[in-house]
Amino acid sequence: MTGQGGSGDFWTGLRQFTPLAVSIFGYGLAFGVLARQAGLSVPEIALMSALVFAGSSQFVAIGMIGAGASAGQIILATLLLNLRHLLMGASLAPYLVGVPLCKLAGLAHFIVDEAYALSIDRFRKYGGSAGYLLGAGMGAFVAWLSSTVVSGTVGNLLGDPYALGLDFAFVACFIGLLVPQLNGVEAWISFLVATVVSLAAGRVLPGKWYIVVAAVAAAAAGTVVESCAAGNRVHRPGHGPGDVPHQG
Amino acid sequence: MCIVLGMALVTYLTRVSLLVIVGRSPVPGAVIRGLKYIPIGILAAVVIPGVLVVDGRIDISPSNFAIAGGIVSGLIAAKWKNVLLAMLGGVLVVVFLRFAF
Repeated sequence: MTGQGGSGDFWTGLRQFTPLAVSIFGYGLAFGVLARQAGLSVPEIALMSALVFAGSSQFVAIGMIGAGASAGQIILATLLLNLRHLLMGASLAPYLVGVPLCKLAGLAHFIVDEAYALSIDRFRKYGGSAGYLLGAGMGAFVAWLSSTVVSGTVGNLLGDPYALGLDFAFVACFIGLLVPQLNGVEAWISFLVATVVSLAAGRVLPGKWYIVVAAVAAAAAGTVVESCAAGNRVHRPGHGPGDVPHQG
Repeated sequence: MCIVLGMALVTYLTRVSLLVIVGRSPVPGAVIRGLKYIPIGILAAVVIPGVLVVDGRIDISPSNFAIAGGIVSGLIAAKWKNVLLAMLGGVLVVVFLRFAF
């Protein structure tokens, strides 16, 4: 059963994704407006939503475009922000071993946070299904593309962005993405390290490089704290096979 | 256009690489653990200077309305874990303060 899945699974995935598609649609409406404010045309918004198809990195990118960052800085920030897909791909892969490589390569584009969360939950209960993941991912794709294009088209009719607080909307949106991730000591420490590093590096580095530096510092800090915490914990026999053995 | 294509390429590579590779070669545990904290770092590096830095300087006076807006967004996000609500709440506070003062 692993890795297979017919059109029935596709429709199940799409149907069960519907509530998440509604929230993505609302989020996409915000993106379209902000992308227009940053100077993107509607075709550029459509192209970005279809080809990149990763909400938070698209928000960061238009924020950086609006602030005059270079292409290299934006692409590097995109890469770093989307490295979390590696984790998703790694955890989905064992459920999709029977799927041909060319199908997997197509399916990969539909790995987004919401579709991943729904699918991995389903896979753990019922086994893997490429059709289910594709159905959920297609729901996300249609909701994201349509909402960003619609609001990109009508968004410039809204009026003065400063009076509407749209300059602050970026930051407020990122706060909404950030806060739910702050669960646990490691997360808070990496947040505090990124805070200090971004403020300090912002004074000395050109452009938006402080974002990249802060991301790397946060990853290093989180990993170190996690390793220390794991080292202090009493080791029990029968630890999970995924654990990294401690040496020295 | 180059930006969009570059973003699309690197994003696709993050999606496809481990989906195809895992099961065929091992990935170091420390790398996997470190990846979790990168989104926190990037978001913090956008949020904190975005709220506190005005015209290139740190401004923690009450006249920096972004601080009040940011706190409201943070509280909404902590309570309901909803990005759209957090955004609307913070923006409303900032717009109100700008209008009132």
